[in-house]
Amino acid sequence: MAILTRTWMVLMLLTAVSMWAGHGSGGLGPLGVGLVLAAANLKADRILTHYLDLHRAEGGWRAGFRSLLTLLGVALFGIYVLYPMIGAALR
Amino acid sequence: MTETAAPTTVVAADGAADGEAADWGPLSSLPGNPMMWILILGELAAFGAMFIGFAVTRALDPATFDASQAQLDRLLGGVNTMVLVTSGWLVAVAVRRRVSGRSHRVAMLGAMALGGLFLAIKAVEYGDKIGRGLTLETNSFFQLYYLLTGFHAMHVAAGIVILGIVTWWDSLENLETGAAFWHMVDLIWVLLYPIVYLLR
Repeated sequence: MAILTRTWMVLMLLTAVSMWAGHGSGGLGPLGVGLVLAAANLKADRILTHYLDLHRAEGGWRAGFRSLLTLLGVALFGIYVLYPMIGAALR
Repeated sequence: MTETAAPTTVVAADGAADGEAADWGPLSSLPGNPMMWILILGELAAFGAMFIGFAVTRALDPATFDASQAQLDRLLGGVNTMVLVTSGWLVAVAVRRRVSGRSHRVAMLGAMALGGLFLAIKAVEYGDKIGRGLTLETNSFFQLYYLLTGFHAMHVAAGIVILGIVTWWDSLENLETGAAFWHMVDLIWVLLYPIVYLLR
């Protein structure tokens, strides 16, 4: 039960970090975007591992989900950081 | 607490096998009913594609997206994240209590109540936006905002019903299956909140 409560505390802390990093006006910059996405990715990983119990699953399920989340996070980071180039290329 | 592996096979639906367990292959090692994991994978793929679509649409018109996003209440979105995360914790606690033979209903009812609170906060948020004339027709940001958060809110509403069902019909497999759906809803929100409310 303790691991569930610790996970909950980590999730709350990471949410607070995201809120702090994303507050205010103006762009977040690559560091801010990276921090917000890293916090989200870590939260998703904690939920998969301890709440969805993927640490019990066999056959690389946890690694597979982790890879998908990382891929999504990297793609989003790239789009948000390189958006002037992407916008120009798609227009 | 001892980590007890749950039964992860189900009896063939047509009953022809008479107690013979269905072989779900690699899905068999996942907790709860494997069909729920197929749903989870599908939902994650659908929301993942929508998140990429949201980011690419913003790249085409960052000024409109950033000005529109500034109209959202980031604090309320963060509070709702904490509400859903706490609800997920209660569901996880309920499953552990069920495994160890203790009562899990108070934790499940608490989780459902927090799910209801999430929807109530979301309704307040929608009411505020609509009251200020920010609707689906305002611009592409608000179209995607209502689409993504509305689709997610429908999952929360469905999740509350599922939690209610598995609280009543509370075999371990049922409880784990309902919990898996709820954690999937939680997982999608922790990704959705920063993308829609924070990133710019």
